[in-house]
Amino acid sequence: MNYNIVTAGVGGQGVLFLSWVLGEAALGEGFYPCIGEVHGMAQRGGTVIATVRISDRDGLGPLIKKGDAHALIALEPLEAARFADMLSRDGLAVVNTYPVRIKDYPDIQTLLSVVERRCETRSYDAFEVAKKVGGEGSANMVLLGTLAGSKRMPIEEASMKAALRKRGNAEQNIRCFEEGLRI
Amino acid sequence: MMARSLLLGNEAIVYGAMRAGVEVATTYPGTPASEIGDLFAKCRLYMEYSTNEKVALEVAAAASLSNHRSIVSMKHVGLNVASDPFMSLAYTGIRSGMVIVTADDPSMHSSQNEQDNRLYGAMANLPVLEPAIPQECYDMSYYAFDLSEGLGLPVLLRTTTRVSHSRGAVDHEDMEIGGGETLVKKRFERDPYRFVMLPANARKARLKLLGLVSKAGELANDSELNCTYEVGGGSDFGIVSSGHPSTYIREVLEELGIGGRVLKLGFTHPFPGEVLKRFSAGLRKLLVIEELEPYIETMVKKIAHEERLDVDIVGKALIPHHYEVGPDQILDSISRFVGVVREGPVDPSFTIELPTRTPVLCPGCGHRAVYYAVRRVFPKAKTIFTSDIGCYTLGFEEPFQTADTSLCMGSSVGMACGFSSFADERVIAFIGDSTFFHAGLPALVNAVHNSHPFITIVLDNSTTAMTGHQPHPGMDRDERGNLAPAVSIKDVAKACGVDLVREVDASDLGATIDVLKEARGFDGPSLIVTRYPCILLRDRERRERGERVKRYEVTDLCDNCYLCTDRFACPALIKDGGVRVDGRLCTGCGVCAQICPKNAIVEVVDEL
Repeated sequence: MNYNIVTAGVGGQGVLFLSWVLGEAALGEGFYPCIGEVHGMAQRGGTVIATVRISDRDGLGPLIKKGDAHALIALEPLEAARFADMLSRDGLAVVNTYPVRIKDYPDIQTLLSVVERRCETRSYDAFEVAKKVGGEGSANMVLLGTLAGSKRMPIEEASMKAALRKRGNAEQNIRCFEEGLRI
Repeated sequence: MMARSLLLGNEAIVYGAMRAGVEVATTYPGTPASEIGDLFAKCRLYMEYSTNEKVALEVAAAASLSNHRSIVSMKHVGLNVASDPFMSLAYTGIRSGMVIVTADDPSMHSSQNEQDNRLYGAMANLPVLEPAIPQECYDMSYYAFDLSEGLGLPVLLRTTTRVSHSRGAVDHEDMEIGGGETLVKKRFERDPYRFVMLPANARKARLKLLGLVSKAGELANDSELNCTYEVGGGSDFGIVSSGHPSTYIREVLEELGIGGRVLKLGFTHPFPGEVLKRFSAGLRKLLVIEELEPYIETMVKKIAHEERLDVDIVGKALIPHHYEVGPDQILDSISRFVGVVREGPVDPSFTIELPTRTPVLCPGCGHRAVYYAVRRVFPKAKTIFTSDIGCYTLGFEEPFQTADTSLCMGSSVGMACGFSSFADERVIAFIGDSTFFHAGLPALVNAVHNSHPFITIVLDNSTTAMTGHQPHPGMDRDERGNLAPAVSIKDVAKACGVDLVREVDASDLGATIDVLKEARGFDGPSLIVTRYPCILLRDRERRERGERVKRYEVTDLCDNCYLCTDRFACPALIKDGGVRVDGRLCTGCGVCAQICPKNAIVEVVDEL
């Protein structure tokens, strides 16, 4: 069994934390997670992508082949479109529609349609949802909640919550995660 | 007792070393090696951030000679800086186990080049271990100390970005590695005939080293780190691989439904020739899958030639010589090697042209104000800007374009020495505070002694920012947060004989411009320290203290001249039919308010 997730966004949006929660939850269930991270130069407002592979087999490498991702969590619409071709046709994309603008930023609907034509997509303004439950900084957890709510992942909600409790800001993160479950 | 944790490859290296009883860890931070030092700084041992990699390696070598197990870690280009002691240390050998970690960066995620440091092992005649996953980082880091001690040689532990920055399940000894600084002094037993590399001693040492290499070769041939496995039924197709690419081979063979025999190497120098000979028996086709240089391929072909093996060996003819090698490239190359035709998984009609999101200076970064001021005072067409390695290399981007050259650590000042004497333009060298101490200092001394007239601007953000905020000699705190003597860049420059030395608050635009004009009128080497703490750190501290951040807004006075967005280009200033301040990004530095010719950007005053 392999389950591949791409998490993407812009430096500072919490892409690495998101991938860590997935990895720690998978480890808690006895799987062998492997996460490929990006550090350093790429984190200064640049594109950040982390790849998470959850397997029952040890020794897997961190990268995911194009078309092999079962899920994409994108914290930003341009970055969602950028990595849409990583997704498999029967995958699921969960996309934050709030943009981090740069020069010549494309139309948001066009970006979303790139993802939508690839596979099933759930997109919404995750900042708004997070703000509603008092945790604007935890928009990434809302999106994670939505992926968890789809029941497609091999890991349980409870394991993700247990992982969140190991780090700071747990209450707010869990509140946002639960809000995302319902979307 | 064993435990299983989710660890970064770099963290697993620390766990393995702590399990091996390492007593001294040194480093100079550099992506993708930085987290090794970050974690050691919280561990129970002596740890230091040294001025540069050469010093770090020398400190660790002395620790080993005085009977402490030691480890020194660096990014791939760091070993260039440390290569001088590295080459000679192979001659003298070491006493207690000593491990040198080099983290290479295929694809140059955060580097100026990609280089394959396995070749350094081959050049220095030192053993090389290549972990592929975090578990192997732990296992090999632990084993490397015994290997080193047994041979009396330092061992090169070579990772790549995808190994150092992979996070995976690691089974490790359940131990407490955290704690404060510990240091036990031990006796250094003198042996000058061994440790003083006078030519007469070095000649004997060279012979001894070659003897040790051949002993290391026997260990490589017997090592469990070099293992063989089979996928599918009997086949005359074989694959030899190591490191990160080796992790994808099994699943690619399974996906293609191809049988094959795989030799996965972990102890790659000296090359385990006997293992290769046993492995290749009966094979007709052999594919070598490795990143960067054809090190294994060359060795395999050499052995095949010497042994007259009747096997078709292919490596770089199919596997890219550049960038990292992942599952897409491996699937492609194996398919081509065995003649399988595949359909591409991606429908090109679904892709559109997307703008790349390049890294930029952070909102509120003090360097941005300095670059803005420099471009105000010095016309780009008549100024050569030599830049260096750090966040501030991002001045390369529009609108500043304040980087005409950048080679390596310290090269801004060294190249400015040359340009100021051989090119007919004014020269400004930009260098960061940590980089100044690392390799800028010798070049500054050179500028003074050889009278090279240029301006050095030290962009001082009081940390080593790009790699994750490690301390450096200019700071008054060490890696554990304890008070440490700070070396003043200003005083150092004065002591070197730089006649014009100034220091200025980088967020004070008027003062910065005044100082730049003063330097413009000065004939001779000059140095300006522009100070502004890294905004990422300052922001974090402010949040922790619950401090309110100044807020700014654009008022009706704005006449849409776009000077602020086009020339200053802070990411918090958004141009959409006018200009507005993005409150999520603004850090309240207030520099844009100083820039606006209409005084249209003002601080928001909260009503009581």
